[in-house]
Amino acid sequence: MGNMNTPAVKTTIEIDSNLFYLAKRKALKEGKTLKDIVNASLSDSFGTAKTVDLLSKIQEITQQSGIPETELQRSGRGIRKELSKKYYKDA
Amino acid sequence: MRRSLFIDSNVWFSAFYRSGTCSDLIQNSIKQGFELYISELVLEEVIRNIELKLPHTLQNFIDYIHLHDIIVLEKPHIQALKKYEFLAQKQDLPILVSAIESPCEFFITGNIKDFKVKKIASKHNLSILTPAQFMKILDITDYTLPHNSDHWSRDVFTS
Repeated sequence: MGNMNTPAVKTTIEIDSNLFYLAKRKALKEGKTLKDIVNASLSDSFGTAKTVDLLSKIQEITQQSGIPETELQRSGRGIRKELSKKYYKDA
Repeated sequence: MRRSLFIDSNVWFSAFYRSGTCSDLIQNSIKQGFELYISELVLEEVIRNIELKLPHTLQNFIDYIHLHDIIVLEKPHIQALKKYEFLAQKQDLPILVSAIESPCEFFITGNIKDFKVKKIASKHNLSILTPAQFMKILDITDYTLPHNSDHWSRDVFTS
């Protein structure tokens, strides 16, 4: 999405009425302005949106969870055993 | 051919925890143009564990898989396992076979002791490496190396 330093351009264009309605609904639902919604959508469609660092996001949530890594690894090993049993049984 | 690696579940779990070897490995491999693979069984294991322990991260993980076009390999048919018996512990064998029968060059796991590393490398052209070992390869490898450069890194840890 364009940043605050990017100058805005005023323009008059025709917009599909259904898309306009959907954009207004989205703006109301998310408490944003119509301009925000249209800019975000244009940014997405032209591939200029910032890629969210999903792995960092996961790490952040994991840290907040307080679950130690050893527990996650142990649980994973247990699940693998189960899945493996099922694989051999179903075969 | 793009260079490729298979990432085992324990590496994913470590990567969820902190910025460090495992998350650097995943992020740097993607940056360096590696194709990332996972198998149906590994994916199911990771998703089930996330659902159980870290449910709020599930959507982020699924988005990550989609965003980076991580390839999900099918479970092998049970008959296919016979040829590879004794190369890994029984529970890891279907996962290993998925990787052997794919174009993957590397299989990255924290439990390297569960695999017959030398045999797998010599007979099936798949290098089983720990995250730290693979990071050394990433560090010493120039991204601009031609992709068909004689299995440039396969010998590093298999001798």
